[in-house]
Amino acid sequence: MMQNHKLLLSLSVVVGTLALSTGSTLNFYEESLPSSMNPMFAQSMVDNRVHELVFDRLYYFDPITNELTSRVVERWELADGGKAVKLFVKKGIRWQDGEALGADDVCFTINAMLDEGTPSPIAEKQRAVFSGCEVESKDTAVVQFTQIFHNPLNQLGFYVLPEHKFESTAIQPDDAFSNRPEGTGAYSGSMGRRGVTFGAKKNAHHEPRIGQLSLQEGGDPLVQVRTLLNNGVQGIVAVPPPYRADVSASDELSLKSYDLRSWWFVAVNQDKPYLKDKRVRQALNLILDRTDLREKSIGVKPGEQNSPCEFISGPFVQTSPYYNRSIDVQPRSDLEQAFVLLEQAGLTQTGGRWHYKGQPITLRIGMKAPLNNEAPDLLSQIGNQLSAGGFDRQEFRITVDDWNRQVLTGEAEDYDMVVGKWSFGLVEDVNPLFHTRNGGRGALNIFNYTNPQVDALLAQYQSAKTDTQARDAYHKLHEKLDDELPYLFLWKLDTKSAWRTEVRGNTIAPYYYWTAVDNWKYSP
Amino acid sequence: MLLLALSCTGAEDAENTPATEAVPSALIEDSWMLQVAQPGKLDEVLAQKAWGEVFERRYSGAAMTFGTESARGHAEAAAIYRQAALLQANAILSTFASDQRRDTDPAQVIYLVGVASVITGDLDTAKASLGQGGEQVGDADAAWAQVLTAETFSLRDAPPLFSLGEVAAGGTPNAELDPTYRLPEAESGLVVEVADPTLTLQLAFWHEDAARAAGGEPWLDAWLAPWRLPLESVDAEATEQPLDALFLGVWTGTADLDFVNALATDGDAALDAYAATSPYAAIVKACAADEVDLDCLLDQSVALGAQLEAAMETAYGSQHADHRTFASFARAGVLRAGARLCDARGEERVAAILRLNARDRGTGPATDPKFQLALAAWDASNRNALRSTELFHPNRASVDGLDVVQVSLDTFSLRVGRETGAGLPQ
Repeated sequence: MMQNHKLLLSLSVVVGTLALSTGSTLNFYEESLPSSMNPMFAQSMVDNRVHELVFDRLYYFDPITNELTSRVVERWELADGGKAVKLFVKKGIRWQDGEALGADDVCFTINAMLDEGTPSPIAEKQRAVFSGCEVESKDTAVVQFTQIFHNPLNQLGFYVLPEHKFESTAIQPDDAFSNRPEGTGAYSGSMGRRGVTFGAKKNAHHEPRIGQLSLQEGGDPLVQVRTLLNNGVQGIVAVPPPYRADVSASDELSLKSYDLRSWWFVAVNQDKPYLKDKRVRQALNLILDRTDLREKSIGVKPGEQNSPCEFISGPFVQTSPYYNRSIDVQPRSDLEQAFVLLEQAGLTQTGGRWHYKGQPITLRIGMKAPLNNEAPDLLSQIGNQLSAGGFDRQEFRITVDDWNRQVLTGEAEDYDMVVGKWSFGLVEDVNPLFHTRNGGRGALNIFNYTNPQVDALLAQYQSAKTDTQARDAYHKLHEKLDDELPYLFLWKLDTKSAWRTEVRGNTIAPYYYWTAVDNWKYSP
Repeated sequence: MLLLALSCTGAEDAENTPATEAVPSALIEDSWMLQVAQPGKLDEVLAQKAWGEVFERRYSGAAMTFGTESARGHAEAAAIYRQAALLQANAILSTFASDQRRDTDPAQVIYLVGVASVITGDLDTAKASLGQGGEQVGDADAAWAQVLTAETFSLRDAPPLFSLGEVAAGGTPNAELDPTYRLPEAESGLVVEVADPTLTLQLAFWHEDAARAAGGEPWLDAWLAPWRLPLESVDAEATEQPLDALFLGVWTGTADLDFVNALATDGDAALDAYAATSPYAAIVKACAADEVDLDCLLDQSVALGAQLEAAMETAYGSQHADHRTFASFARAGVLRAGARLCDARGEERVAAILRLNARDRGTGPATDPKFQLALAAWDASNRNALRSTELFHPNRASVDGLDVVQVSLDTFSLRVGRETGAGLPQ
């Protein structure tokens, strides 16, 4: 009965990684290196977490009490009949280069987001929230909204940028600032080729207790865990499920919950003629055996209780109010039905391989490379299953750089399918993933999927006046996508970090992670 | 096994104990961990199949399988439904309380605010809210308004809106009940689905009564005291807890439970009263005699776990893989006891930090659904929709019919998520 944890790794294991003498530097493994240090151009959760160290959000939720608070705003008042707020910026806060933070920086950030010349999907979203910002005095800014919000401060969770570091409000992603940022956060960041070093910056509103943080790119998770056990690093941001028992088995390590809504998918390129017919995509969905994939890559046994990995049937996690629970997940493959659909779509099977118009189909499948650490061998397992279903395949690990440059921009036409993961916090806006790319919408539409009915549902969500209208729009979207399958939805995978017990006060904030970094302590 | 020395301020008691022990060994001699570590004892206990379900945190099934042999399954259910009702109530208030209500919300939600206010102990708001919900909730609303007109009100006076069936040890309440209302939203004409927490509350009482019928009467009041709702009395008489009340639970022995119960009624005085009998009290006193020393509690929770593992190994004659699992209950338990002291002192933030750490320590079989739901309820009261839903979800199958809580969490998450600024997936 008692399924006991096996201590696969003993503390005495000698590993090849050097146990470094760390001094007061806290070393940790991230999923990858950040792609941009400019919060306007965040493209991954790694970017988000790094920005939380270097910058201040105007308002944030306390990770313990969830109180909405600010480190940079002293007080606020409603203005313009509730359609604006007047913010009084705290005095004495300095940018990391010594310049004083002021109301002009707050307004500059808002104006930069409103500037159509700032090619940022994040800014694009904020244009629906803000209509302007006026500097009333050195320390007073009036932020204007596009509408009256019930809790207006909730809208002010953006990172403040320094006006003096930019030439105009049209901020560009390749600006030097993206590599050499100046923030008002607890740490300054310096991006190297193999990692990022963060130096503590005492300020009027920050007093970090750890002198230096060192972000390193995590590789093989086994090596990561062994290095952690040997004190070569002090933390791992994301520990894959198969390795969590090893962390739990050591009194020198602690597993920490990181509340995040992450779901995994296989996006399908419908521009390919053989993938255009939705019956082919439905067949691919039926060929995938998610139970088998989950067991082989995440280590979850069939029927396991409280699995960290939960199947999904649409673009939301099951805890989400937007998840349409009437749409069943597809835990097992159904090759018989899949083959019927493929034949109905006009594909023919010759020599056990599927052909389109007489030509054998070879599926080019890519996966964002760092995901292989979290779900080892997933790409190969998907390839194997598709092969067993009669498709030749080629597998590619896509570097983070290529992922950002090609996949997220809708220029990955060489691939037939890509495996990825999206992470959300409280806001679960999936419009950028599925809306037709135009006028700034559909900014993260991987294969430029377009469907007028889907666009209409996304527009309904966008214009919803009430919670129920928004929910209904997304429930219908979920149903529609389950039929259309621009993505084959896989699962939600929960995220756990591991830290050595010498690291104290290390509260992990939902989604943002480092919000309470000032309270972190490390005594080697 | 690495045992950590007691190395924090205010640790005068520790001077009398060996450096490698968190507490004097006598304090853990009678712990359930050492009891079941005796050769043959665990097999004897596990002869009762219901423990397999307790181990898997499926308490409705455990209650049925135990039948009249143990009240434990019903007791767990009684505690879980209480915390689930509190979670629902806080989610409702965080969505529909007067400072959060929207013009487009159905008018009938004022009834839910009334019931939620009863559950959270705010009778003034309850009385001001009940009796005006309108047609769709009329009967329930009137029944609740009626019971609140009495001179004295006990939570047990809650109107029996749902017919759960006769209480029986090993039985299950009627599962065919639907506590949801589909209310019309103003303007849109769409339907808002909401859930009445009265059913969850009634289920808590049903299982409490079933636990008594299953022979839990002697120990149940003390066992249930930490999980009671605001309008219920927590003044429980200290009583000896049998092994079946403690096994696979967070309290190592009766003294730990009595200690946390005494904290609620006597505050700091409980530290002195129980430091000589409860390992948790001994550690909490050493680490929190003056200010609560978080690091000390974290260290000592690990040290106690290690001490228990070593003691179990000695008692059993060799290492056993279950020993670490069993000790992990105590690793979380110390922190939860520390949080109870913080509650008594009004140190809400420190209490929450301890509970968040306890959440991470109490994983796998040591996961405690009633504790996680209590933490989720606290988060919901702070409008933390993300963490409260993440805490609830893995525990939704711990007892039957808990899915209805998701209905309350859905409306809550929608409200909070939509009023949070723009965001992009990453």
